[in-house]
Amino acid sequence: MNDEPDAGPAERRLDEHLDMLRATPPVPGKALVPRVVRRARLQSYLRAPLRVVGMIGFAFVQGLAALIGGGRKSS
Amino acid sequence: MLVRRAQNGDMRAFEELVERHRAVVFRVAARVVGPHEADDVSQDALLRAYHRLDSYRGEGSFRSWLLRIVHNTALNQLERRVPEPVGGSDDIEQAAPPREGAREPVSRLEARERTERLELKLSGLRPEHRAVLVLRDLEGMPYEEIALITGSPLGSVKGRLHRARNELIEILRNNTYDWELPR
Repeated sequence: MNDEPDAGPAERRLDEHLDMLRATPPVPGKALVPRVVRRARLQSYLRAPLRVVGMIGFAFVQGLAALIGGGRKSS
Repeated sequence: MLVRRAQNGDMRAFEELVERHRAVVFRVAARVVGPHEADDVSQDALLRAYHRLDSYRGEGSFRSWLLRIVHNTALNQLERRVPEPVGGSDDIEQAAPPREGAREPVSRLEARERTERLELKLSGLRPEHRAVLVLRDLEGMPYEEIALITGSPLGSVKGRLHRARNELIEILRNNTYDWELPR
């Protein structure tokens, strides 16, 4: 902010205060990366089987609907 | 190249990408949603990024693309949160007390207390204001990158940043603690 020519005195003072936050950045724990990678791996393994289960379920519901619809027509 | 490898399913490449960007992802998440939810938001955003890797077309930097996901995840998280009163008149009780038994020089204790007060006041900003102020004034990012991350036109980013700074100045002026902000 200090390099912005139109910054007023209050903004420049605010920037000095913000220095405190810049000097103490939050740091992630060491567990973050392994946890993300583990979950990403697990989700990628599960994705294909879940898609197959979903397709089977969808086909089952479609078949059931066709059966019920066909039954109603014949009655 | 690393991104291309990750897009092709190379988990090592994805791990390397996460390792490279984890610090900025966490910093932005922590400054926007607060330290207690930063870990969950970072993890959520990184997993979303993993599943959407194919949508990164190389327009702009990978960091901007990733931070856009972090930004959106963080704002969604804040929307889900039950509103609580922020920026009360006195935040002495709200600031974390010094650890018992820990001996710190008075100047360092004071600096830590001021930092905690300021963090608390920052959390009182409207989320979209907080996000641009974090990206510009704490992370030092160029306006163009902030526009990409927030999905807003350049002019809106500048306007929002101006309002965010004024909002924070007003919050600090109304605080019992004297931040010595000239009028």
